[in-house]
Amino acid sequence: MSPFRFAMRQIVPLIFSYTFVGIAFGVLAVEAGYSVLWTFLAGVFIYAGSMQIVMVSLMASGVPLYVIAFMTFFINARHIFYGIGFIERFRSRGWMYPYLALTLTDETYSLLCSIEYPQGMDERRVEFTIALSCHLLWAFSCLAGALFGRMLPFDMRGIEFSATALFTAICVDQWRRFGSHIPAVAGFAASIVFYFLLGPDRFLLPALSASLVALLVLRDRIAPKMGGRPS
Amino acid sequence: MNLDPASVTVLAVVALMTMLTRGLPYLLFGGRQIPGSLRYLGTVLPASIMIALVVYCLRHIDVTVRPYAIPELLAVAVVVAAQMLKKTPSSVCSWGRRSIWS
Repeated sequence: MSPFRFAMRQIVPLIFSYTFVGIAFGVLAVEAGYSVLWTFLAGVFIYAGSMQIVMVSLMASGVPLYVIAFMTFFINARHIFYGIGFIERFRSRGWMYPYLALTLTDETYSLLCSIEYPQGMDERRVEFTIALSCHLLWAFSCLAGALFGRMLPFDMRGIEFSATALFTAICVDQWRRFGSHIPAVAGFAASIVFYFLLGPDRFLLPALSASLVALLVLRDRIAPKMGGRPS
Repeated sequence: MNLDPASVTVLAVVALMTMLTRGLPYLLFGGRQIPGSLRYLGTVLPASIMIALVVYCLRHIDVTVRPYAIPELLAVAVVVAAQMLKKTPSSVCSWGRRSIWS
């Protein structure tokens, strides 16, 4: 199978969520008064669905620029955790390195974490194809939403669940493949604890940080069991 | 198709801050030998992160009000069941797997 076909196969789970959330952003931005070009550029350069949508409300509420900068950093801070696992891998990709690093979204991160390459598959080509196609898909969905969104006849309630479904499926996969279940349990426990302590909008970063600490502290218990896992 | 300075500035700021969050690990550690702890984290963190992301996606459900989050929880259960039913534990999108292995 060609790297391109293999890459396209991997992307299938996120096509729906990217397309519809992208279109939703496009519609939102245009309704708020921004130009089609601006909307497209937002898709290209920001490439973060939840952030783009929040940005539109922030702009409407007139908060100062430094507050927007601050909030962007914290809303997107989970990406820092994603990068940790990919430093070595992307570093070895030569000129593709910055592009791969900067296009790691929630969904592409989860895809790249769970990919299993068949023998002889050109991993570099696959990764880059995934990164580029997802980026283009997103940018053009934003554009499509800006241009045509209002004409869409059907009710898209619940479409955001496609991202949830993707992450859930990967969790199940990881549970089966990982030698140790401690990371998953730690992530879950930390999420629940901080969810109840800090509420739905503030729990994520503390939960991720706490998981990170727990994983380091429990390294001697976890690492031996993780031995033969494909990375 | 016009772009006014104010909205372009906000776009640039949001884009740059987002790039910063994506690029930070590489900026900090990309230029040198990766510490063993970081390499280890790279293998185990994804499991914790993925679960946290599922909780994050579901964070606004409310079990105390009609319909008591049943649609969301049911949907999650269906996904879990469907994924469990796949005989080989493997990557998410491998329905056509057998053909590519041969």
